[in-house]
Amino acid sequence: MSKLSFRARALDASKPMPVFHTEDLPDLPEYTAINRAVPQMPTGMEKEEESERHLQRAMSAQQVYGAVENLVIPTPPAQVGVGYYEDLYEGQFKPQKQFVHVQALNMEQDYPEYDMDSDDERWMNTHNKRSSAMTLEPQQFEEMMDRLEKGSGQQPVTLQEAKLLLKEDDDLIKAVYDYWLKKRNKSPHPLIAQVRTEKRDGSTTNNPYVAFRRRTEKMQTRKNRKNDEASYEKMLKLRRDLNRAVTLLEMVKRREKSKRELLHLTIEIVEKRYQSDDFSGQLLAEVMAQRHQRPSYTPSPVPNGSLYAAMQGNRPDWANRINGEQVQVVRKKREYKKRKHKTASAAHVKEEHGRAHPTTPTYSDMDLHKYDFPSSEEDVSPAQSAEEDTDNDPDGSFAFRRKKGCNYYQARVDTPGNWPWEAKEEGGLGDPRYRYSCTTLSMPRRCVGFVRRRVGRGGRVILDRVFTPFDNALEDLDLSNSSSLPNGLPPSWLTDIRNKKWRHFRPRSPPSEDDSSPSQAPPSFSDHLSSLITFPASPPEEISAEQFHDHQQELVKVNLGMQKQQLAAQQDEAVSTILNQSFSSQPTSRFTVDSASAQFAVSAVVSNTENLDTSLKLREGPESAHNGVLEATGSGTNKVTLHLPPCSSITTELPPLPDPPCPRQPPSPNHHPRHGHYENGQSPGHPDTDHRRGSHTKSFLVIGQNGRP
Amino acid sequence: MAADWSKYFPYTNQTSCFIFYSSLSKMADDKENKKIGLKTTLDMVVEGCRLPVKMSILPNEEEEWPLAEILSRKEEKGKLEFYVHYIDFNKRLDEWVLPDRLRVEELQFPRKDQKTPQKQTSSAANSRPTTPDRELQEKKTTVDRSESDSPSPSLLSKKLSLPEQTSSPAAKLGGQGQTPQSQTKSNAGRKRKAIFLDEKQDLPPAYCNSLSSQDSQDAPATPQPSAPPQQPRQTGSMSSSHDENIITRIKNIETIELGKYRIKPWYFSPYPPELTTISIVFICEFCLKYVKSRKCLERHRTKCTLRHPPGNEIYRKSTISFFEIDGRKNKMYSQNLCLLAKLFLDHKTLYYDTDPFLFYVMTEYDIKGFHIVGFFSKEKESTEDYNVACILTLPPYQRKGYGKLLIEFSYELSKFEGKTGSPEKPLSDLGLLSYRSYWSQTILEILVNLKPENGERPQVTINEICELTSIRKEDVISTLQHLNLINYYKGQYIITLSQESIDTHNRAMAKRKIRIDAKCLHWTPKDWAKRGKW
Repeated sequence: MSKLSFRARALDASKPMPVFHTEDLPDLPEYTAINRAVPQMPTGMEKEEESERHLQRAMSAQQVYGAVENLVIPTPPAQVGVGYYEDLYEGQFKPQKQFVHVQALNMEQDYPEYDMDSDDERWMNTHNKRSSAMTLEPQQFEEMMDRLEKGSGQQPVTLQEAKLLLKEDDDLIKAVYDYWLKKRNKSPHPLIAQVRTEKRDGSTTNNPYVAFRRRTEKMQTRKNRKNDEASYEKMLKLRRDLNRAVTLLEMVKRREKSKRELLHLTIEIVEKRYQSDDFSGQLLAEVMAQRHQRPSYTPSPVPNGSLYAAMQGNRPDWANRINGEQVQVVRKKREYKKRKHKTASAAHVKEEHGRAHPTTPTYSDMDLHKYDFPSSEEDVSPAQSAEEDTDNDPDGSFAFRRKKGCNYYQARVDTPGNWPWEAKEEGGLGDPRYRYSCTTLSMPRRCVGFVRRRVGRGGRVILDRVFTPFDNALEDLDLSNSSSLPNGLPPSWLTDIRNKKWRHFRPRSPPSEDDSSPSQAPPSFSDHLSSLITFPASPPEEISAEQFHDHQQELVKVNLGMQKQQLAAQQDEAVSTILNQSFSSQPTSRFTVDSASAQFAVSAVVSNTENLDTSLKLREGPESAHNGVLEATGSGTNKVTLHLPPCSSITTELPPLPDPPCPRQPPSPNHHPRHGHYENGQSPGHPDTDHRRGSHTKSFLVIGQNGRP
Repeated sequence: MAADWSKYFPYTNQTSCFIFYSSLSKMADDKENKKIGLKTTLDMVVEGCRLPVKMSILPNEEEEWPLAEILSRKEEKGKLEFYVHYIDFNKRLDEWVLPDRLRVEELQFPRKDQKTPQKQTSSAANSRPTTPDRELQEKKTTVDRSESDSPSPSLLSKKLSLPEQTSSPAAKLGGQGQTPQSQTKSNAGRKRKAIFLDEKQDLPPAYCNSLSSQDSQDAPATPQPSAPPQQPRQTGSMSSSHDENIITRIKNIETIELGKYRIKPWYFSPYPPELTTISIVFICEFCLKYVKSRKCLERHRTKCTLRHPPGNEIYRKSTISFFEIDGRKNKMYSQNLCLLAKLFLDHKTLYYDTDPFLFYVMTEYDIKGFHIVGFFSKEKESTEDYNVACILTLPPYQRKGYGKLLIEFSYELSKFEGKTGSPEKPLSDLGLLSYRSYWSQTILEILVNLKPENGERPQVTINEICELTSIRKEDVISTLQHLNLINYYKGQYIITLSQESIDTHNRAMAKRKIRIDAKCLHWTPKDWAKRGKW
């Protein structure tokens, strides 16, 4: 058996090794030659130190005897030799049963680091003897020395600085300071022994007395904290929540302030009443009555409070912030609805595009901002938020806005109100101009049958449609009207229309630019115009509005007022009929063709409409102006609510209204058509009712029509 | 090699050549000196010289005159003293001696052949940090030159003036001339050393005296295979090589007073330099603050209320307690502890702050409080699975089994962590002995107590031993091998226990009266990697 022919395998730490007693293996020494195969492990010592004599002796002893008992490595002596130990460590210390646990805060020492030495003690004793008034306690002395020492850098502190450092009596400070300065100047080292620390210039790299340098590099790479989106959003949310909390607290603060103010005011009132002997409360009642006459503007919660808030430029930021958030939520819903609308009508889509494009990016921006800069909520200026609101409100710039100084009353549900389109029996004014009448829209250009006009909130014109037997025919009429009038064979009622026996309402632009119209404009038209212009004004103010208009135009026509009054009387008569429907016999203004065809059309109708037609045609000439009008009209049409009253009530026998033969044309200066148009629109603008405000342009555009007989 | 270096440092070439020649002439001087050996005076005994010196600290009463190297000399109150390092003895035995303990007639001058041109070049122009082959290279060079000119009286007086400049360690604090010294190194010395180490072990000490002197002289200077960078590595607590600075080779604190003990330090420690001039540094036993006088300590004791290390107690059984101190949270104490420990640990480095360490301080309770017995530090996160960085039993408590208790505790912590661990290297001589002893006893304890299963011979794997003890695999193998327990027998490794080793083990275990009781340890390991900060 050749034991040595095998090479020893590597030592496998996971392989079980049988444990033998040496006595059981008498043949073991024969195998020991292979023992060199057992890996030689390093001792872990510095090589040169391994050779040290004492260690070698000890190691060999350990190997031989298994212990080093008798062969210790000699070390410098340490002995118990402090006789005064008891004095230094006085008292006893009994620990608790529990393990000692220290608080991190308790580790900081609050005693002076400076320890008084024998010299100090001597000086202090002599000092105390000299000035018995101000005896120094050792710790007090140490405290002072400590502050002086720590207050000084390379240069010792000056006496002035020392006085700032020490809160002691001036004489005492001076004494200690002098002593300290002398001592410090004598010593090349700081008086509080401290381990040398590194200097920034790197000169201390090799200084063996410099210790505990800061580790400049990172010790170990550790996993980067996941900076993922979720945690980021959490942080944002947290910040928002905290902002809200701050807002809430600010609001509470305001509330409490207001309450305090109220209290002070109450006190003041009581004092004033007392001074003026108002014990019966009479004075107060008077004042209160006065106060109620002129009720001050009080904010009330409105659905779109954000707009309200935006209007209040002077409101503090927090209000806007809050409202801004609410609006953001609401807005989304609206946007969604709007999208649906888009598909409703082509015209609207067109309009929608015009507006949606600027708004949509704003929207996404907002959403982004909300996450990127949550603080932007605070930064949004009132004006900006107002703009945003405008953009995002489906009503756009025509959205309802409260006006300062206006009183707003709750809607009355019991009675329809004194609207001109309501019959007198129902409490309305029964204005004949608002009766159901044949109506032609300008865009899309078609007749919609019999329609009653109403003014809705914000000045929108709402058309209530009603069923009549003429509906089909009327549609044909308008189509034939726009193409070629003579080809059609109009029925007799059509002639009636043409003859202005029936009212025919056609929305159109106001005739401000009618400078081409003949000078002999009939007063009836002027009346009609004025009514057209004042149309959006609420009916109760009709008279005053017309008066205002008259006044404006009194240079042109003198007898205007007369005819108007006359007309008003006629209207009253007409209204008395049960069905407030009248058909204007005014010819259509559908002409966009050249003057020749206009002439032709005019020839087919009553002569006195000729002027008007021409003027209309001319007015519609410039395409740009027309487009502008049309677009707005289109949007208006979209919002037409088709209100069908019971059809049975409609009768076709309508008393023809006496109609002033000729429209009046005010000789206005040579304005740009569109400009003039607006000018005229604004001139009768009576700033009295709220729903006129803010929707001025729009209402005008829709109402640009001659609904007047 | 000289040519190689001159390629890189053409400007220093001439200088180095000059030194080279002067060295040659110095060798000639050496021979002359030996001829006039009787004339040698103490003035000739300068730094770098070697001569037999009578050792004062020896385990037995025998008088011994080992060869020693003069590291420094000083003259105080007319009395000349020499700081000597005994060759082949640990630095802790280095001491200041009076001239009467020098055997001047056997004086060996610094060997000039070691001052090769390469060295000069590298020290002059190359900032490569190295270990010094000798201390005070520069000073020696000047001395050499003067000697090489001619040993005239005027030159001798010059030499005499040298020690005055370095009359006290404190005077060296200014540190002028430190940097050049620190950069002197021997590159060639290493090769030589590697050869001689082997030779020396075979040769009787007396025979290889000259050889070993060269060897041993170079030995402390041996640079680590990886040359240490300008700044030491930031992990661990040990300097990977000897500090080449002469200052750190000389003990700077004469005596410390800690509690009721007066202790002679073993090594240099960077206490504030002003404390090196006084004979005793007073250290508060509980907060480890160092002050310059008893009066100051008295004053300090009136203010310091500590009666235990300022950390949480995590272990207590009978009078033995362990306190855990975070090197980041309690910097002052940790630094004081490190300064104290450095007095007794040669390779400990205090270069960097204590933040990445935890300190486990073992205390013994008596009516006065919890007295520090020893401690070990531990990296919060060790890249090399060290479970101990520095470990120390304070000298008054040594040889009483406390060291083993500390080690046992460190492995107990590792068991709680579910890891194996090992002490950071390099180990000191005492550290190696203690660890080997602990490992031996722990492993033997397992082996002896193995019971035969089903009549079969008991078996054990190295991994099992590791798991049971938390001792790292390499240490287990090294111990088994060191104890001659592992043998290759008939195609497999076996463990053999001799009755002798069992008896020795039983005797040793009988002495270990204090043991760590895991039930008394209330401690949960922290995952410091998750904390971000140490």
